[in-house]
Amino acid sequence: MQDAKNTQVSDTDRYNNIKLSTNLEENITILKQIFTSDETIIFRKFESMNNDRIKCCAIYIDAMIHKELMEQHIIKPIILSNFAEDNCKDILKVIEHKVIFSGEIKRTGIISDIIDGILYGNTVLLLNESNEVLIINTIEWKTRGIEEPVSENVVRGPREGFNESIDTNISLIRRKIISPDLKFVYKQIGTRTKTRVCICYLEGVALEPIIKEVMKRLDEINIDGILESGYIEELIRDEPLLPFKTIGSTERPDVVASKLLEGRVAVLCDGTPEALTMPYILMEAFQANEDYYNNYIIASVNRFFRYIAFIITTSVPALYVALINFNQELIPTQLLISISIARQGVPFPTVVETLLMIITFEILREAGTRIPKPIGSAVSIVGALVLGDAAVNARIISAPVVIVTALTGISAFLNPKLLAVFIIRIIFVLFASLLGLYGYMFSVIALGLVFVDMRSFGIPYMLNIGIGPLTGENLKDTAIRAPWWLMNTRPRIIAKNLKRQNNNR
Amino acid sequence: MKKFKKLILYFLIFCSLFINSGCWNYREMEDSAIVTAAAIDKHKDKYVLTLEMLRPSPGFKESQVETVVFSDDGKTIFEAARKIIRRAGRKPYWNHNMAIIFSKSIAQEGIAPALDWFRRDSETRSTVSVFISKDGFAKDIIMQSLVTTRRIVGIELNDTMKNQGISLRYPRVDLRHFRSTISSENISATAPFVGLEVKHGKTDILVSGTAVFKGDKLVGSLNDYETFPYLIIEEKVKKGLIVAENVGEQSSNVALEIFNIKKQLNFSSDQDRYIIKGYFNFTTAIDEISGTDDVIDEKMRAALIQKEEHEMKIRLEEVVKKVQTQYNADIFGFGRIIEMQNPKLWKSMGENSDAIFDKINFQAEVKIHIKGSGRQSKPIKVGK
Repeated sequence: MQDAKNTQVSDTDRYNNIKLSTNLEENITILKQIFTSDETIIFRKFESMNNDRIKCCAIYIDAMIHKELMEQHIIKPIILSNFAEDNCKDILKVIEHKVIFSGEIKRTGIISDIIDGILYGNTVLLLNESNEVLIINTIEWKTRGIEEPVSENVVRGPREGFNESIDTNISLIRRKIISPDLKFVYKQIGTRTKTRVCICYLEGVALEPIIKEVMKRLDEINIDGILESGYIEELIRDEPLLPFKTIGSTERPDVVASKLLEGRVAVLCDGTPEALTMPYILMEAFQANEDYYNNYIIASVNRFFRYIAFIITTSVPALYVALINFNQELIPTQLLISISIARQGVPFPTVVETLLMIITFEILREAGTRIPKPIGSAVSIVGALVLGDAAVNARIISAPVVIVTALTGISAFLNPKLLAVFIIRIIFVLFASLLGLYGYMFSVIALGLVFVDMRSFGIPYMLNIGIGPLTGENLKDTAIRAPWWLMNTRPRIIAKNLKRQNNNR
Repeated sequence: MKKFKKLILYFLIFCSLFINSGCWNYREMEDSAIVTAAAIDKHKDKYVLTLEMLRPSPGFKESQVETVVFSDDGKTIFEAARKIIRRAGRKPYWNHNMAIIFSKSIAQEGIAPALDWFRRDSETRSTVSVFISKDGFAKDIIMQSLVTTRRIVGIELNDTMKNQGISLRYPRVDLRHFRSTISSENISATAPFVGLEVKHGKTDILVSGTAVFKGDKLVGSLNDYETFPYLIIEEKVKKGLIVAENVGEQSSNVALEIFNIKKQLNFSSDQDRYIIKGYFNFTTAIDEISGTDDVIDEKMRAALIQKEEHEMKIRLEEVVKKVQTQYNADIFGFGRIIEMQNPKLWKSMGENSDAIFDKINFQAEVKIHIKGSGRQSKPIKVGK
């Protein structure tokens, strides 16, 4: 099975050499053997009242089907049905077409499909004298309701978020974009989990090469299980060695819809509320969906704050170390004096101090996310009082470092999607501690080179090439958020069919 | 092997980052002592360097800054600075030095040798303010910080310099400017005087008046009343105060606040006569009437203006005359004006450009414009 790389191999394929017979009992035995020691599978045998020839067996998993539907629309009509033509050859066809009330019926004789059908929550109907079966859709399982995503809050904007059911998620997107051009393509990934994955794009807007590339990369996945879209993200992303995201993820259908309208491709994955969008550029980390719902001036200012916060959160510790240890002449005298006082009696060098505090903050942050809510306040008490205040009073850490760390930490929360800032920050501090401001500048240049070199599905991460000269048109949704009546085009190299609105203004 | 070579290459490139990257040394701030003021005296043929340095003293709740003063001598200033480590325990950190005070005797002998290290060394700052001690040792001024522990002489002197543009009773000179004016052919250097004055049982550090240099030697001084017209001629003064005395029948004193001075200096030569004509246009407002005369009244105002224009003219001309006759040091930068307005003449002077200064006939023309009278239109009326 391992050699077949390009096609998704399911673990039920190994039963495919078994053929169903025309004997009902034999077929039941075959399936019972496959499902040995699985007690959730129910084999319900019944016969037609009026015709002895019709003997059936419904096979299903108790917890995954809509029981009443199955009883009322499958078992009841078959038992009550009056099969007049006794000598009818294809009774299964009669049942499929004239007896069962169900929207979705599939007729098959392939054993792996039957197994999958049962496992997915369908009801499989076996009939004597037939080597084929009916797979009837009776799926019903419990899903979480549509709630506001906890990770992406908005003040203004739709409150609905994806849940774990891919069908719900698709319906949420469909309701946003009512267009026949909106295409959904299913794939099944995971030899054991057989997770349904859905690729979603707007035909005529998304670029074909990108769609093809997404399909190709998804087809190349050969893994036993996909439990979260993170698996897919990591398996198909560009630059797998770097900590920066090259595939976007969101829990909000409105965000997915806006990305689709800009020509991106979305991948939904069953069992996770996170939709993936690709290609993903650095600028998206600074964009929030609320930018587009609020006044454009306020949105632009907010975006500006996010840029500043990014600079602060990556650079302030490094600049502090560089200024304190190498370039003291650049600090105003009064500040120098007060820092010098604060540093008196502190046993560690500034770098060690700074690194200690940065790491402590990250530990606190991680503790805050992992800790159960009822005892969550303990983290803030320990963090703020014990580590902050007491450490300064005991002269283990100097007060300016606490301020620097706090500023750094708070600024990181403005761009929650830039998870890699911690790594950037540490590298900046290390370089600054070796070479001062020179080292800091060196590391900034290095980071810039890394960003400029990165690609996401062929799109440059910084949009540094391919968009032509840096004109106002290209800056409308990057540096600022231009008013909607000015954004007449889609992003240049991600989408085709650039025209977005007819502007009469 | 090829891979290995490549690895070595990368390693070497990475190493060169550290080797070829200029001045880098990791230094903890508390390891060096921040110098806030330095005084240089000369004892016999040795320099005596006195430094005011900060010593932060960590307290349990609140930390404080104390100053310490150390003094040591050496054949050169650098030697003295290094010898001070014996006493202070830490290396003096010069980047935040705010004042250098040279003793009067060094200035009289020639200040250039004592300046050299401050300009040459990479750690000292060229924006530091330069002072000349008015009398006695320069270190006496720094010693004032020992009298009360919270007093930081360097910061006090620095604040005085920051507000020079309002006070206008002493020039503002930093090390770079001072050095360049000393070496310059077309202008002479000046520096503020700093001295001690005991008043009401306490000692003030008083910055007042101008030290006049010819070359690198101190040749004389201007008091703080003479400094103001000097600054008007030499610098771009935008603020200040004119006090008109004995105006009107009740001889009130009137303070005119200056808002702007438009200045133009024109050089003209007529055979052997060199004339510099200065046009000074004052925009002022009456800010204080110390008396009962209604000087805002049109007639009185005209009289006030006339009187003040005349007095200012005399003040300006007198200070030039004084410097010309007594010191012969071109602190007004007349040489620069001649060089700009008549470069041919300046070139032809060559070595003798020095001699031209006392031949210059300076004529001032003052116009005073009063644009307002503050928030009051009349002097305070005294009820009967």
